[in-house]
This record gives sequence, structure tokens and C-alpha cells, in this order.
Amino acid sequence: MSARIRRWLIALALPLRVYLGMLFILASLNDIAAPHDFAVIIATYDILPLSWINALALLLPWVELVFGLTLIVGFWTRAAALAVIGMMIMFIVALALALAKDLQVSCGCFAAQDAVEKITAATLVRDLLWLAAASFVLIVDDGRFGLDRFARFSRAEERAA
Amino acid sequence: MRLVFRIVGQALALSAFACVIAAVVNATRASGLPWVARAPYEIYNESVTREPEAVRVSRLPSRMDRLIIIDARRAAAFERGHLPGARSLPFDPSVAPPAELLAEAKAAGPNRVLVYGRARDELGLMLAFRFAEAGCFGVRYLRGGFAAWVAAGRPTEKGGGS
Repeated sequence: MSARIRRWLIALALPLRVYLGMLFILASLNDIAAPHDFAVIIATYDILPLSWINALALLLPWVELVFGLTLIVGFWTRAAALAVIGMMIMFIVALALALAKDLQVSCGCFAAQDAVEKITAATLVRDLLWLAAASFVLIVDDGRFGLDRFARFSRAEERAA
Repeated sequence: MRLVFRIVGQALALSAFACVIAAVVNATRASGLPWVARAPYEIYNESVTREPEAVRVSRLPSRMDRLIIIDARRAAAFERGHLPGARSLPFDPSVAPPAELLAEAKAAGPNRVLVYGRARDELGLMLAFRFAEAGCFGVRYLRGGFAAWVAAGRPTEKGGGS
């Protein structure tokens, strides 16, 4: 791959990274504010045992928020992208199971805007696109457009020394 | 490989950090959620499904055998043709749905009862409301009624039913 193409790809990773970060922050805020409502949504998918639901409802939004912020500021970017990939895989599996069971449930991804929109195959496609975007960031982003840049310089100095 | 381990380690560290923050915030909250639910959740959102919802033929699940399908039309119309597996319950505003059927509908859970009328929505909607008033959540009525079902080319059955 030529250096010029690689630079373009790396430059493309930046807006994708920021977009994904904002997405996850938006998704987390309402669930942090109302964990009980989020627990009800998780329960609606009828996948997890009852004993896991509250823990997931409490932890997942904060994990989304932290990784959303780290994606935006470019701190441990690849780790954040990897975590986003893991979460997207989890969401996609849950959506696929709900669709297979013909559950008439809302996505629960964001607040009121899709509270009455039931999940469809389009929801699945949307999530797959987000998964692809996170994968792109994981593979391509080399940390030059964010806080990781200073870590790169530190490691370069250590190697030089 | 070292890079992979580093990335995974960083992800785990950030996740642990997020979990600690979640635990602290929940502990300091007056309305904190218990870590383990004390009772099963009622798995429907009352603000969305307490009132009957209209559903188009195209949005009906592929497996209709899991639904309790109720025909609100007159018995004669039912015998001429009805949805497969449907039960005849001609709508009468002065008569409540049978207790056994209500119990079955409630036990089936949300989004498991489908009511339909002729062509206009009123008949199906009114009967659906009777079920909702009796405590069944997620009752749906078929938009366009039996006419919409036939127009969509879906199969029908003839003859009497329960």
C-alpha cells in the first residue's frame, strides 16, 4: 500500500473515530440517568438470566461512556476500538436473537427517539456498519491524531535512547 | 503479538475503570439499582404498549401459530373465511371477553394477541381495547382487518372455530 493511500486511510479513521465516540456517549447518557429503564429493556430481550440484568444495566452505559470519550480524544484508541467492536458484536447477537424470536421490542440504543421504533433488519444492518467502522479504526488508526501521539513520541524517544 | 496484548490489556484496564466509576456512582445514588434484581421484570414498556397498537399485515411475524388470533366479526363472516388459527369472538360492547380467553391472553405475555375486524379498524380496535382494559398488554389489532389480510394474498381458512 502506498504511503499516500495509507495517509488518506488514517485521515479517514479520525472522523469515523469521533463519530463512533459521540454515538456511544449519546447512547450511554440516558442509560446512566435511568438504569432501571435500561434494565427493563435488557430484560425485554429475554436473553440473559435475571441475576445478570441489573449488573449489565449498571456497568454497560459507563463502559460505553468511557470508550466513547477515549475514542474522541484519541487515548488508547485501538483499545477503545476493540472494546467498541466487542460491544457491537454483543448488540448484533442480541438483535439477531430478538429478530429470530419475532420480539416486538425497541432497540434501546438511544433515548426517546427510537423508544417506539421496533427493531428490524435495518437495525441490524446499521449495527453491522458501525461494527465495520470500528474495525476500520482498529486496523488503520495509528494514534497520530489524538493523545496517543504523545505516547508514540515517548516510545520513539525511549527507543532512540 | 506484543501489540495485541497491549491493546487487550488497555481495553481491560479502561473497562475496569468504567466499572469502578459505575459502582461508585450507583452506591452514592439515592435511587441506586440493586446489583441483582429482586424480582423478574415485566418485560414490556407500559408507555408504549398499554394501549392496543395497530399492525400492518406486512409487519406480522412469520410464525403466526404463536399468536392468539381473535376475529371480532360476526360468526357468519368468520365461517366464510378467517385467518388461520383464529377464534371467533364477535364484538359486543355489552359482553366482556370470556374469562378463560382473557386468562390465556395474559399468560401468553405481551404482543401475543392479535385482533382483527372487517376492513375498517374500529371493530378490531374496540375488541382490542376490551382486552387491554382487562389487563392484557401489547394487544395488537390488524390495520385494514380481514380485507387487508386477503388483499395481501395471505391464506385463509373456512368453517367454524372456537
